[in-house]
Amino acid sequence: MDDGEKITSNQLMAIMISTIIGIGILTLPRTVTEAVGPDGWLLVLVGGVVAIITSVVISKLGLMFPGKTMVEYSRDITTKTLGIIISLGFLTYYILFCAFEARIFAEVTKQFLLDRTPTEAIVITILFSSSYLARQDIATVGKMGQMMVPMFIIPAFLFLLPVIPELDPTNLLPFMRTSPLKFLTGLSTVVTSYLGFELLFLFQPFMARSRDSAKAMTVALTVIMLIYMLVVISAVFVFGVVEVQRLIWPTFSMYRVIEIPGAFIESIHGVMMVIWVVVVYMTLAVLFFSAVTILGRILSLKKHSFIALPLVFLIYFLALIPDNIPQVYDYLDMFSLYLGVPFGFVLPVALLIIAKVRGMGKEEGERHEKQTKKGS
Amino acid sequence: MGFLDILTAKKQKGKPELGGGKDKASSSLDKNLRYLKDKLEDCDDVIYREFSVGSRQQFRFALVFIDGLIDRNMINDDVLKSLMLEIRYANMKPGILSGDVFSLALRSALTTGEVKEEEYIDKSMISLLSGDSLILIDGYKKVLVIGSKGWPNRGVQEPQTEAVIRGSRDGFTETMRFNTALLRRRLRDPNLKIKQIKVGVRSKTDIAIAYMDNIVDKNVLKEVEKRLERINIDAVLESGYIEQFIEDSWYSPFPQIQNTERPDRVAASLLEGRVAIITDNTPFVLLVPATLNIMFQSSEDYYERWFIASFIRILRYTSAFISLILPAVYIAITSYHPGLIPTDLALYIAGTRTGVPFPAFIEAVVMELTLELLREAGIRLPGPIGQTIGIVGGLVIGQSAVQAGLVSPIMVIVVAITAIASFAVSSYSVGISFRILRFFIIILAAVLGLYGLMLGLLIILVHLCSLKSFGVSYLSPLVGNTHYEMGDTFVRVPLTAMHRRPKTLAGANMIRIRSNGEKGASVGSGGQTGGKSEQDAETDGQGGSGAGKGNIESGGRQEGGPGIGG
Repeated sequence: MDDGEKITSNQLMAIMISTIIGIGILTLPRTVTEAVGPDGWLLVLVGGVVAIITSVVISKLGLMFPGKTMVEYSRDITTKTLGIIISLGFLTYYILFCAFEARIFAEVTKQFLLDRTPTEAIVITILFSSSYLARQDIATVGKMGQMMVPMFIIPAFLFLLPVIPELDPTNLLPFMRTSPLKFLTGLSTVVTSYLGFELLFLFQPFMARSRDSAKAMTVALTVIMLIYMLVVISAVFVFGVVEVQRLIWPTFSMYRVIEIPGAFIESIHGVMMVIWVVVVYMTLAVLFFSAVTILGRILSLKKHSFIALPLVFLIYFLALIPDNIPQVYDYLDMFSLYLGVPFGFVLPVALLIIAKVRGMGKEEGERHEKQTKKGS
Repeated sequence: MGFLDILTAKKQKGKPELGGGKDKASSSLDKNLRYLKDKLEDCDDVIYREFSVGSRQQFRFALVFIDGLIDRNMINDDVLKSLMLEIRYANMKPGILSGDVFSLALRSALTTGEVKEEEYIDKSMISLLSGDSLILIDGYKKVLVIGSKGWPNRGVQEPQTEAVIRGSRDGFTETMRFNTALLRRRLRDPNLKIKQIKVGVRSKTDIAIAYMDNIVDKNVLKEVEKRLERINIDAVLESGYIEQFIEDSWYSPFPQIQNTERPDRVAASLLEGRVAIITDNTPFVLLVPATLNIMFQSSEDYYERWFIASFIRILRYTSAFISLILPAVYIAITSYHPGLIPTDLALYIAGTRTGVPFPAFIEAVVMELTLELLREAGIRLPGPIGQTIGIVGGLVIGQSAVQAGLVSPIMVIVVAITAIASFAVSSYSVGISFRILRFFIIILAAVLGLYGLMLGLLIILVHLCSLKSFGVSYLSPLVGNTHYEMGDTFVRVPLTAMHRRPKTLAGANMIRIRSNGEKGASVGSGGQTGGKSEQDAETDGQGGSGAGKGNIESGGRQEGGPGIGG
């Protein structure tokens, strides 16, 4: 029989891969190339390493307070009021994240797949359908991730194969010509494409073996890093540094130029759109699930599936605030810089330092161990 | 389960005892008979036969049975004849005998196999109603219950719903006892347990729970027993009643319990650690827990060589997928994204649709509904007329509709392929779920194109992920840490590589094949090997009939010969 409400470390990896890869991958070749030119792939690599280190920090925090999510241990580490403020901050962050995800998804889908469907219709349908997963328990989310990850990773890799003849490796030159300062500024942008990994603070207590979380996160983030690097390198190979910066969604444009010789389908961008729906659905649904869970935990509710539906409408209105695509991206940049980086990278490190300074966690962990021993 | 709780919680208190056990039998024959005649008033199928036994006819007996439910030859030859004639030849000095005619009848006179003493008259009445005969003797406070069940039955025939090319031809029948015998013939193992309970206040239907004691997951078994006990219904007429009462989610379109007519399939499932629920009066046996993957398996998959079996498995999964999405894909592509297919093809499809007065969505829904109508009509009609329906359907819908310009020929092809694909799914109940969900996806594709189609598939997948059957994930082994079991999903690895039972289902004794010469390799209860009877935790206790080689369960290991009861 199954292990109740627990997820395995494979499932955690799947959740992470499917959550982190989202709308960011569309613009990634452009943003990194704008920042550091042909060294973009290196920036992606360094950004990945930063994300891995931070996720190890989060994993440490989670092990210090076993069975507790961020919502609970932020109260323990700081004060009750501050903890609630932090949790509310996270809630806002995820709700806004969902809104951006839904809006950009709608814009892309409208442009490439459904040119006469209103944006509102696409936003509300993706929100409603992802709220269905947000209503389920964590085990379902884990299983869903496990089912979906192979479904989008394998085809995405396969469809890159026809790009090979069009590659121009000289596009990657010159190598390492960016100044360290420029590189650092670029880093603050690129780490935001790894946002989502901080969800570990929410999922770790649900793991069957939460000790494995750091390992699982490292593997998951490495896979994501490789995928990102592959996308950046192939986009730069195909278009060159200058042209990549002129495209809104270089990743899609890249798949659009690919033609499979002798294939039944005219161009694979239709298939890519289908995969795109899956990718965004998973990201959105997991973020949505997290928002619902955080709100439920702040209010200490036993069941929180009913929160999902009201949130749909809130996210819907938030998603429709920007007037056009450039404005969406302006807001998104602000969001990533002022909410994403602090909550994803700064806060976990700060919490760990405070906890260490206050000498917390140790006795908590021991007490928990004793309790589990008693229980068994 | 929540819904079931609400349904059954209130009734829980007043659940009556089904077996009787309130009224004791009296020592007076007349009183007992009056009790029975009183209770069974206007039941003209009950026959009372009063007679006297003994050299001077000094003991008054009465035989009560229900006409049609009993074996008349047996009652005449082994009960009446023995008691009335042969008992006279015995040493019957009145004085000696008078004290103990009851035990004489029980021990020496009745030449039948199954006789029970019963203290309670109401209990024995229930036995009477289920086909036993009662012998009441004046002066004794007990009733003799003779197992004399024998009624006209269909006999063991080939299953109608799960025909196979290769595999045993015997199927379950309406009589539960034959069904358990068919199982016992395949698994001659003391660990095959068959527990009987009665469900239904009025029908008092016999239900047997069969499982392999040292393989089954005890939690699942407990859960099955708990859920069966909770049923409080007047009558159970078919195993479908049981299924709907014990399933996990009543709101799911997917069946969470497997049903089968094939004894070999049940035997194989028991060896995987599953639990069978055999209901009287129906040939359909329920198997729990069930997963989607199990629904796509057929017993034949294990009898054919693995290449063929794997090919057919992939075919089945593909056909289920086709039956789910093909019309929706057609609608999405023709009405939203003609650019995704080659220009020539897009132009050709557009050409065939010229003059068709309906949008693709209406066209598809009408055609699909017509097809469902044809299917339903074909089932209800007797054989010869059923063929007529086929011809009428094929001609009218296939040709005339196209000639009249109401439907495009490609739509007919799409609908036909969908129909064929949906019938290729091995489980009828899952095939039907996919057919229903097809309409849901068609609507989504008509509204939102390929995007809607994907949303529909994702919602179905989320639902499947959340679904459980008796604690087992419905999508296992595709989800969870079960890499080993992947060998029995889309492909079926060679039998010799299926060393272990599925971890998600079985609770203990995971090894099912041992290599040649290893200890315990041929241990089992199989008749031919005459194996040692080591039934410890190490041995699996499965019937080993291979020539000294490691053997695998498959359920199809019968030695031929007609099934019992036929």
